[in-house]
Amino acid sequence: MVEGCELRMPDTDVQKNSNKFGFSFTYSYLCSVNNSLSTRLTYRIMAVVLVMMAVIATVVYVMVREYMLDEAKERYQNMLLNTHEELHRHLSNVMVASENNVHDIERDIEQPDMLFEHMERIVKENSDIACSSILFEPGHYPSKGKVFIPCARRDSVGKVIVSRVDSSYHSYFYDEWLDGQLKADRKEWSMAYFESKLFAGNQKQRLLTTYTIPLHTHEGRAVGLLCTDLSLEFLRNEMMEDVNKMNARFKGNFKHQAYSFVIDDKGTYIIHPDEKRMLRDTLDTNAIMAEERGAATAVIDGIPSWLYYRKVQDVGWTMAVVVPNDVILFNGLMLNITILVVMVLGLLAIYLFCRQQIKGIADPFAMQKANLEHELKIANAIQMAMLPKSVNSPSETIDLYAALAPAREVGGDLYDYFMRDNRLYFCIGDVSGKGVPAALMMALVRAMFRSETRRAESAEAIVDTINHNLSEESTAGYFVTMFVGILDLATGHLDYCNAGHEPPFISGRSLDVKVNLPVGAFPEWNYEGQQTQLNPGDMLFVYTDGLTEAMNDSGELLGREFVQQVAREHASDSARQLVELMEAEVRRHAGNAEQSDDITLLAIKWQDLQLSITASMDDIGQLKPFIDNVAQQADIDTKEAKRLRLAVEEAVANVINYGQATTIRLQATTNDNQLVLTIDDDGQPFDPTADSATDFSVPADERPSGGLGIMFLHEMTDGLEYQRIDGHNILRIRKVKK
Amino acid sequence: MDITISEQDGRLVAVLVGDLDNAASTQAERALAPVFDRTDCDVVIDCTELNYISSSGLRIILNVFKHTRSNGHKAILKNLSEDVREVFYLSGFLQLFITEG
Repeated sequence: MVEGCELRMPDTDVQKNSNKFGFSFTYSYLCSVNNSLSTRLTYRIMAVVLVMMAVIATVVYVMVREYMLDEAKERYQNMLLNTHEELHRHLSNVMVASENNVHDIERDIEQPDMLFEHMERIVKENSDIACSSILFEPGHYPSKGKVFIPCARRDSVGKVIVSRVDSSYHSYFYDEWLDGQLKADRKEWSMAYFESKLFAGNQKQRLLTTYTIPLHTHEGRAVGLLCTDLSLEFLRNEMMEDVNKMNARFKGNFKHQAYSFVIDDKGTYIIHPDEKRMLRDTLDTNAIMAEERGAATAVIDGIPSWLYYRKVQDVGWTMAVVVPNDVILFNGLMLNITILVVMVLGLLAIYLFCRQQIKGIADPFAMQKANLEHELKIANAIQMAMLPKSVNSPSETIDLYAALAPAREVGGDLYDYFMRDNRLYFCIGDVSGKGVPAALMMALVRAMFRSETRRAESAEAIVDTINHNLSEESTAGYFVTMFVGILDLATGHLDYCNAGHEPPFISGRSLDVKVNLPVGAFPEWNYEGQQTQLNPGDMLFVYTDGLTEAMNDSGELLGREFVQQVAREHASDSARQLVELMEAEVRRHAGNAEQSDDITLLAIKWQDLQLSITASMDDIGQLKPFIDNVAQQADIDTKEAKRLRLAVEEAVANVINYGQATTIRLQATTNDNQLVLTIDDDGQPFDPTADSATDFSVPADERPSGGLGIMFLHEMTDGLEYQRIDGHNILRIRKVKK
Repeated sequence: MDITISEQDGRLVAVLVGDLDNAASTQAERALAPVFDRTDCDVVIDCTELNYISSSGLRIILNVFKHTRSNGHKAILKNLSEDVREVFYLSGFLQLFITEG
């Protein structure tokens, strides 16, 4: 806020402007600060929580993934183990049953018809054996023809059927295979195969594997093979059941599902969910499934999967469970999604909670602050009321302008001025510190200045007394830098005393000052006043250090040198122009930087625009050069200067002709807007403003000359004021600048 | 203030140069004395270089008018500047004179 007062212009709008930023501005600012504070705080908390949650989610994801994989491995390996045990048991049963009968069969080998009983017994006594038969080398029993195969098999309803497989069960391949087996003379499991249609009849062809044991004659020659068939349907069923159980665990509708398979040592599928691939397709997984049992990753049928496997003893098969990656990690993923959802909800809760809580904290704070602001606003108004008012000031004889901008609502800067005996008493001061304590000090010092100037005759005396009084008041270490001046407007003589204040400028020249001490600092200090003489047109510029120390964003000061330069270059401006220019420079320099200190500016322009003449026509010739000078200093053009001259001359001529005065004093003052010329005479009371009309009813050549002059006085000016003070006629002629 | 008087084409011509103010009025009255000696012709007051005139100046010019009129002659204002014309106009004197230029 800028409080500006102007001496010459009672109708100035500066004071109105000064309240343009008012409390409403401050309050709304406060609210916005409050809002942004809670918002900022909330977002910061949210950010921290978010980061924490992200870390937690990542860690949980990794851990869960590991756990899921371990758990899956364990589960599937157990599953495979169970199945393996089952298979192994069946295989063993078949092997043991077969081998136990070999002795009996070999004993009866010379009696082919006996062999049917053996076959029947083997099947009957061993539920695992689906079919038992003996394949003899071709033509072994001449009486039985080329092919003789005694056989017993269990049909689909469990009934054991004993038969001789007829000769159609014969092929080239069969001969060769049998021949090879007999020559090899070893017990072994055959490759898996589908049951011959011959045996299956109308039934579904079963998946079988056969244990073959060579049978020997009493001489020890291998002549036949005891074949006991193990149906692998149980294994298919079991594995299918397991897979179904497995898949039932996952409720998700997966594109690919888990399944299991069995392959033989050559990689051929023995068991596969897709029956068409069984015994046909191969899977080259030897490299992956190198261990006895284990887990591996592989892309199977184009699906990235985890593979759990176990080798089967005796037969050289491998059982495996295939679980697609997205299936195995599904539960982990679900867990993670759940965690994330909970986290997001938590985050939302924290957000709402923060908003609520912070607002709750900030609101009373804001109310308190608003109350304080309100009081400060009042304090500001009171403080501004302490500054001089220009309205009806008796000091209409000098061009003076001042502005005070507190850094806070109330400031510690002060200035004051008033006129006494054609002398201008003025001061400027800066209380150490800011805010309310400084403002109270300011009020105290200003009151002391006012009261002292009524008595004291010198600046030195004023400062001395203020210092003494302040020390008596015991002002807790506060002190005030001050500059006090008394300007004699008639002579331009300046009596001043500087108390630790920055030296003022006179038309850009630094005024020589004794430093002294700030007032209130040391009670016994003897202040020393000084004197100087102003030249007509000199501009005295006094300020507080808030001006020179105004900072921009980078912390650079405006600087005394710069201020001096402006004061010098604009010394011929009006006081108001200079002060407003300085204010503009501060704003320009500071940019967005906050004002850190009170700034007070006081410009006083002394104009020697006065003339004193004896009330005689002999002296009236001095009017022309005086008016010319005034017009020049006031920046009035020739035409208006002539009109002014006519007005003044008529007024003065009137006084000389009719007033019986001895002395006539003229004084002019100018500012931006107007020129005021005061005519002071000690003659008979005469008010030219009362006799405003010239009597135009009288022919022009018969009108009195004096009336004509008064008519001109009115016509040529923009305002006339008359006062009778202490036996003097005071006529003020006002001329507005265009 | 500088006043020269001459006779041109049967008319008396007074050339006023400078400021006809209170200070100059006594001198101007003296300088214009020859005008009042003549009763036989019109008087031209040449204001081409008259910079300024006050009411006291107007009074002197008015006296010239009164003199010529009493003799049955005319008083003519020549080349009034704008500023001076305004003063004559405001005083009402402008309508008494014949103006030229």
